[in-house]
Amino acid sequence: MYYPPETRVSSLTTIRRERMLPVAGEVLVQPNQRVEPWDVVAQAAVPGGYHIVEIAQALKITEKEVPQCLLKHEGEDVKAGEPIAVRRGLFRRALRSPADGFLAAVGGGRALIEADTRVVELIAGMRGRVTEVRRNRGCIIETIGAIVQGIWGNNQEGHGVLKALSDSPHNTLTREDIKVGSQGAVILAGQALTLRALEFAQEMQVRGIIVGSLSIELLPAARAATFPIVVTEGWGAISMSPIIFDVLKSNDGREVALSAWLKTGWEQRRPEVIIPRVANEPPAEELAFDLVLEKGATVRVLRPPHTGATGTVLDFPALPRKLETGMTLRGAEIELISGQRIFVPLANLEWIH
Amino acid sequence: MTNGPVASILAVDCGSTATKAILLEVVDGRYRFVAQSQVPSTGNAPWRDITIGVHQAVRQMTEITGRPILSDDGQLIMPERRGGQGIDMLVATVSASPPLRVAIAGLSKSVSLASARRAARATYCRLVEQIALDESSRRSDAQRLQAVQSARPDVILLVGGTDGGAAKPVVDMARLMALAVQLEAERPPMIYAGNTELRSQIAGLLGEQVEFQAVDNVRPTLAEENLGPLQIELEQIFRQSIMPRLPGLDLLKQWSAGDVVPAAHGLGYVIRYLDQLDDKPRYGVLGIDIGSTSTTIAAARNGRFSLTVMTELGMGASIGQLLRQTSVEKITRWLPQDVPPEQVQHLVMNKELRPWTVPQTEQDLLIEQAAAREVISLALAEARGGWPLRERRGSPVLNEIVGSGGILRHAPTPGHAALMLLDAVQPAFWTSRLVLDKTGALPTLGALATVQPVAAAQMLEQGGLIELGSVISPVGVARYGAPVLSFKVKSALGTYEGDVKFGTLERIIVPLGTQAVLELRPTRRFDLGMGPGKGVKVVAWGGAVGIIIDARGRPLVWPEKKEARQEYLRRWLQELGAWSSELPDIVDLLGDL
Repeated sequence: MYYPPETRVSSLTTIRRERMLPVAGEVLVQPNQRVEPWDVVAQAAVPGGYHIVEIAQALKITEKEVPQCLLKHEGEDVKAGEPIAVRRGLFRRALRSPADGFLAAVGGGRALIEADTRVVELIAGMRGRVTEVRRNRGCIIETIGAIVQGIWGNNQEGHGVLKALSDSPHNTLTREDIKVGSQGAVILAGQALTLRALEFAQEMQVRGIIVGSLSIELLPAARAATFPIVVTEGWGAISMSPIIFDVLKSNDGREVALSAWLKTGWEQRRPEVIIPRVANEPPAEELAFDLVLEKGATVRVLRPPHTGATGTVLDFPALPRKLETGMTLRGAEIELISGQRIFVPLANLEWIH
Repeated sequence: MTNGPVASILAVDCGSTATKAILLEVVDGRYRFVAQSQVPSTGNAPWRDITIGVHQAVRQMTEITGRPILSDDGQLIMPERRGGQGIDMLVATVSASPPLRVAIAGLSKSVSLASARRAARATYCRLVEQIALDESSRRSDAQRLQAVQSARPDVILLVGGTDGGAAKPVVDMARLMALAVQLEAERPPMIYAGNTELRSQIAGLLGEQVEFQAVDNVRPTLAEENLGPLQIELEQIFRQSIMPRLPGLDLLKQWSAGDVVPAAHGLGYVIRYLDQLDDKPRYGVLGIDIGSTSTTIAAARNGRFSLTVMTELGMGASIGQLLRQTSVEKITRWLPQDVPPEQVQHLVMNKELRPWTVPQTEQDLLIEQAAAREVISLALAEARGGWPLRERRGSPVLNEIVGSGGILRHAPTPGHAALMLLDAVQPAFWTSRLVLDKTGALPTLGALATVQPVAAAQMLEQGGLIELGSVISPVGVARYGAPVLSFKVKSALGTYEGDVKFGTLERIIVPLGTQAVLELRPTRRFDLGMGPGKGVKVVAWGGAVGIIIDARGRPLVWPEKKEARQEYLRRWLQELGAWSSELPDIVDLLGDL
């Protein structure tokens, strides 16, 4: 009995995704409302920076005298250059706000001016229907379509029309492969892409890249990219799973939504590609996530010497087997797409479905 | 939990990557280890409930043992029924919860902040911001405020000033932090652990604006450190405010006898117990638990104890942090063959993405083990600032080294585990016993000790730990190939004499559970703890590896040439039974040095 890690790859399913603000704000949509990827579904104000004003020091007064000298109350708006405190008397002296904003706090002879807040907008990210609104936080959007989970993302989101620039999951995308028509598109690459291709994609203002793997030398450029990059297999030179490639390639020319979430040690939200589709009948819901791996399941091998290879589970040998490393582990007999049969430890298998 | 006799216990550990369960049963009047199971953890997306993983581990346990533990409707059968269905007790540890986010503000980075940092390291804390008056970046107060706000701390520590010492800078820093907390919609609590004489003044500044707690000064004098009160306060906040955020913890608590214990503290209980087993003055016990997301170092000596939890430094979900804290060359120096640096980086970063995977090739195995040596070294470097152990030339003097964690537990041979521990810790003198937590249950045995101490003690005595052997580490340096010591050993296998040269490891096979008498005669450059050149007669325990004489120098001295270094690494692996390839004659090799 083994509960494997999973990667969701489905050409048609019902998908629900939570869209939540990082801080409390205002939700702008209603239940049952249809949304496009670019629609703003919620917004929130976040602080725009702080300025500390040394009132007591500047006016040459004591801390206790500060409240009587204030011209503004805490929470009151201030303009840049506007007096916020004044020392009255023979040697009158005024202290002015260094920025537009409001008086956030006063204490210890100082005032804190919070510069004007900026508004953070949360977009729908994908075409769909709002099924639920979470007060002050966001909503849940449902859509029907294809979904492909990735393994690494550069923490960006976006959407655009998918353009397959690779004919094979084993190809490396070069600068020359990216033509003028790629501008504004989400590019489907194969195994990998070169640094020059990534830099040119940035110049061409593409809307996203989906690729099997990235070399470590591309990490700084990938992090700095202004569009989402979803990696489906991992680091190095690993061909894109043919199952994933086929699902994506079959949606060439369709609108796709990319959520290139970056997994961290404590937050394991995976990057994903969602492709809304029109279906006559509502398809099955996404499967539960605590299913036991069974014979016949399609799996991906996660470690060398067969990293990225896809195959089918033939059997679960009753006894553990010794590996090249000397470790003796339980595993499964896998038939790869190439026809080769191999034994893989259970821990190195991922269920694709 | 049952009120009757406890005949069966399920000990569960919910880590960030794996959920492990072990089943203990009373057989012939003593607790015995019966079986263990392990499944991927489920605290994160998409499951977001740790008890799903516990259920899966229990079902796997039933498959292994044939013993039903869950009822048909998925409920835990407790207490045990006739016919061996169910269990009498469940104890649990967790290390899967996010850490307590701590911001520290104080005066001196190397004095009060260093002490506060050490106190925070005693539980699952993540240092998200540090503000010191003497920081080199010279940020403005507004920038410091912005930094604290962006860091979103769960708690702010304010430290600085010895008792009766600096006052105004501490008060100024308190004023700044008072402004910082006012900006937060959910104001984080503040703990003051600075100059005791300023307590009432600081309380006056902060008390009305924020939940405020004052504890004893972490640095009452420049020469004295007092971490205990702050550590207790932080542990309480972690247990009360952070651990409950772990989805499913409430249900696990209902099942569990006693508190659900943070895994690091479970390890701490065990190491303290091992330190107190012997009445004689001791050099101390060092416990190392290298997990997927965090690494814990517990050190105890004659009742004194320190715990260091390195959150975000582990061998799985946070292994990528290793590349940010050290160079890739530090990892590749442990490899007995050429491996391109980018291949090591790719392996490390892929392991971070899929931390549950295991190496299938020998090269991958050696890269992971090389990374583990560096993870442990970094954790030890942080721990040694406040541990109670004695050191000689930067190497700790120890009675016992206890290793726990997947990378050690799943090592293909005891020799791999022993060498990883030896290379990372580099103990000094004689004789450190090397012990391995083969079941991964050590932290949960600590939790078990809080409710069923007899069971925990019996498991530690037999079944819970595997003796790898003993290590003798002469302190000194010489050229490679120079004589270090001669020895005579008497064991159940007979009498054996030999010489040990510098740069080598000598393994003397002494079976598990038996002792050997060793007469050791070091050359004048080497010290076994009695003084340079002075011999000693010791009794040492054997084990799965045996007795190891580590003559590689303290600190370990590397051959200068890469080829020679790789050759020696192969020899060290081979000597401990962790390398099977044919090797050239050592005399040929020494000729090249």
